Parts: sequence; C-alpha cells; structure tokens
Amino acid sequence: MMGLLAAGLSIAIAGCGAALGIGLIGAKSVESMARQPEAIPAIRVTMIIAIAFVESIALYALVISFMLIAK
Amino acid sequence: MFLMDSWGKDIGDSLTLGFEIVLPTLLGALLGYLLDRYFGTWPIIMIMGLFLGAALGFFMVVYKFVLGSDNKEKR
Amino acid sequence: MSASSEPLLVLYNLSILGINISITSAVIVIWSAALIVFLLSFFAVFQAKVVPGKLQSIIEVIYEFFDSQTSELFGEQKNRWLPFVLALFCFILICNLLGMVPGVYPITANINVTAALAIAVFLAYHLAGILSSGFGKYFKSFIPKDVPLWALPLLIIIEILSQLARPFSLAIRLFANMTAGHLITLTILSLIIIYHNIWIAGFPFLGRIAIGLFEIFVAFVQAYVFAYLAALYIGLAIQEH
Repeated sequence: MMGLLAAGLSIAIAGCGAALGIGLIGAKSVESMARQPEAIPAIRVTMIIAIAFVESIALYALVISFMLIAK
Repeated sequence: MFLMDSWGKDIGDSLTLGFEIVLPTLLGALLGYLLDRYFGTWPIIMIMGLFLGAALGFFMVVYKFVLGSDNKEKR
Repeated sequence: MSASSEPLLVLYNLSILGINISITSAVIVIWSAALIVFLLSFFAVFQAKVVPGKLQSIIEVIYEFFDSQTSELFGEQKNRWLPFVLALFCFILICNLLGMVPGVYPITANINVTAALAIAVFLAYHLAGILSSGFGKYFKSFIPKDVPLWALPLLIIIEILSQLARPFSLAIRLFANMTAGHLITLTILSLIIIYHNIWIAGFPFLGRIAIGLFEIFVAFVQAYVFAYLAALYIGLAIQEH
C-alpha cells in the first residue's frame, strides 16, 4: 500500500516541478521572441532543447512510478 | 498551419526529445542489470550503465542540435 | 497492467502455433471501432452532395484540417499517405471515445494496442522512405557525412536509438494519457464506496463530471497528436535529400 502511495507522490511532485519549469521556459522565450522577431529560429531551437531536458526528468519519475506499481 | 513553415519539425522534436533522453538511460540500466546477473557484481555495472546511458542520451540531443553537420551555419 | 474498472474477458480461446490469439473483449471493441469508422465514412460520402449534409460536413472538416497541414509536407505523394493519416486519426479518436462509455473496455489504455499502432506507424514511415528514394539510398541517408572514422559506431548507435525512441514515445504517450484518465476516475469514484456518506458523495460526483469533460478533450488532442506525428515522420522520410 505504501508502494502505491509512493508511486502517486513521485509522479505528482515531479510533474509539479516539470510543469513549472516548462511554463517558465515558454513564458520567457515567447517574451524574447516578441522583443526580437528576427531571432525567432534561434530562440525556438533553444526552447526545444530546454523543454526536452526538463521533460526527461518528469519521465524518469514516471518510469519509477510504473516500477513501484508493478512491484 | 504548423507544418507549412519551419515550425513542424521543431514541434515534432519537442514531443519526442524527452523520450530520446530517457530511453538510452533505461536501456543502459537494463544492459547493466543483465551484465550484473551474468557476472554477479551487483549493483556496480548497473549504476555505470545508468550513467553511461544518461550521458549518451544528453549527447544525442547536443549532437542533433549543436554539433551536427547541418548546424554549422546556425551556430 | 490495465487500470480501468472493466476487466479483460476472454470470450473464445484460439491459438495458432502456440501464439495466443483468443477473442477477448478488447478484440470486440477493436472490431466495433473499425466498423463504426467504416460506416460513418461510407455513409458520409455515399451520395455526396455539393452542399453537404451534417455527416458529410464533419468528414469534410477533418479532411480539410489534415489536408491543409500536410499538403506541403507530402508533396505529390499526398494521395498515397493522407488516407493512412486520416484513418489513424479517426480510428484512435473512436477508440478513445468508446473507452469513455461505461462497460466498454478501453483499448487505448492497454499498452499492447498502442504499441501495435506505434509499430504500424514505424513500418509506414520506413516504407514511405523506401518507396520514395529506393532501398539503398534511404538507408544510406542515416549515416552522417564527414565525421571522423572513430566516431562512426557511436553515431550509428545514437541514430538507431533515436529511431527507436519514435514508436516508443508514440505508444507511451497515448497509453499514459488514456490510463491517467481512467485511473483518476477510478480513484475519485472509489471515495464514495470508501466513505458511505451522502454528504461526502457530492465531491466525487462533481469531480467525475469535470474529469469526464477533460477526458473527452484529451481524447481529441491525443488522437490529433498521434496522427500529426505519423504525418511528420512520413513527410520527413519522403523528403530525405
């Protein structure tokens, strides 16, 4: 029973962190795209890389929660 | 809409790059675990496999966006 | 591992050469979804009028939505690959929506069904590349040019892993989104059974209504994302220059 609680808590807290991080990245990148529209391709590529790194941490937590459910 | 200009490939990348970092990490951990069961040294090889897999995953993203041969003019 | 309140019933045991292909409730739902998609699209274009009726307008909206997005991506091979993308979208949408009906087993919340769809997309985009550029030329395009020779095995491993990440991510994304919806529904509605109190039963009831509306939205979005990524992979494989 504690395993299921740990599974739920792990993905919930990691999801909080990932959602906040991606939201901040998106907000700052849209703001900088509006300030300088000729730099949009470079800003877009950087945003994609940053979102990938943040999202991978939430996916690690998802894998751990699947392992905790299956135990 | 999105696929007509150059946003299409970037949106497709943004949906899959998270998995492209996690999958080599998991495969490295799995390979390390199988080698550990064969050689009996737990958990050293699995931890090494985990970190090597994570490094490979990060290197994939860096290679694709920064070091690749078609990125020379974007840098 | 399936996290819904409907069990997977085996209706008729079949096995060919040791492989278990029995008729389960998931198989019945797959056949019903395919039949519904076929009947809806058949009767939409059966006697197509210039001023469309209600069903024909829905099919036309879906067709024009995907047509406008993939016309530049597919180029002249649009008639070859657009039906595949549209079939994926309609089938996954009907499967997701059928899973919301109480009593029907939700097949897209089962990793086997989403993995099968992801493998179909994987085979489709490699087939698209082979058919459009020839067998040898397509596989040669995976090897990056002008790299030092010592880095070549590492780069080939990286390329194979990133090709494997595509169907993996397609399957996991659809499976996780649908399972999350059913799991939250199960958890919230079980509060009524645990507490047995009429005053506490209001929150799970209203919560279930809100989650149900959100689940319908997620069903549409996930079907669209799956079909979008399939079209993107096919278009990238066709344009391999």
